Amino acid sequence: MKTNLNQVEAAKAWPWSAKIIDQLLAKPEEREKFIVLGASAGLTEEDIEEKVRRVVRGRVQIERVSMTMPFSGLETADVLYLMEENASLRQEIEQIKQKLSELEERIPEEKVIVLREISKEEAKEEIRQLFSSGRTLYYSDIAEELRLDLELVVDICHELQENGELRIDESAL
Amino acid sequence: MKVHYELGDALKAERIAVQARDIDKVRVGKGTHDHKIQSTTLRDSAFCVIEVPLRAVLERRQ
Repeated sequence: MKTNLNQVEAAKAWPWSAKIIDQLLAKPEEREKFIVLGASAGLTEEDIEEKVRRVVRGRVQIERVSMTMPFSGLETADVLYLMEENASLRQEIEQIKQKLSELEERIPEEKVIVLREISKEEAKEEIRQLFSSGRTLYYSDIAEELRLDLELVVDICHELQENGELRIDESAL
Repeated sequence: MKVHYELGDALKAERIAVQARDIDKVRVGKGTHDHKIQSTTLRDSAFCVIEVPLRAVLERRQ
């Protein structure tokens, strides 16, 4: 980014800088005029010359202060421009953060389950134990809880059902 | 348990549990009225089982 702009370049890059400086440097009783009438309304030539003198004095003072700041050498217009750009970038970052958190909420959570490789008989016994509490469970609940292959769970459940050890809970359907 | 292996065999239910080696990203689309419809594809060793049948099927059974 170019930061060492001369007066003309600064005015082109940021045309309202002089107006803002005028408002900042205006006496308290004059500030109301800016708000009600706008920067150039009802001003005589002498008023304008006086304002120009004050702006020039103000710039000199600001430049002296800015020597102690890290961005010394920048013109007032540059500093104000950077401040405004900084504010708009912060606002954009906030918006991006908000959108990101919305997107994160939409992404379904991934849960890693490492399936166990056990014999069919062992799996059958574990399923029996799981149902001993009298809970109603879906195939997927059993597979997740016991970390077993879904197909194996379905197969075992059918066998247990045929043996009369399990029955379908109609209220869960 | 009936197992379907043929091309074009389908399952229709209220709730289906699925398992596969690879599952595609969920695609969100617009269904009938204002309902959101989601779809995905299971790849490699895909297995699906009906956990809750359609209401109409349940009523027909009773």
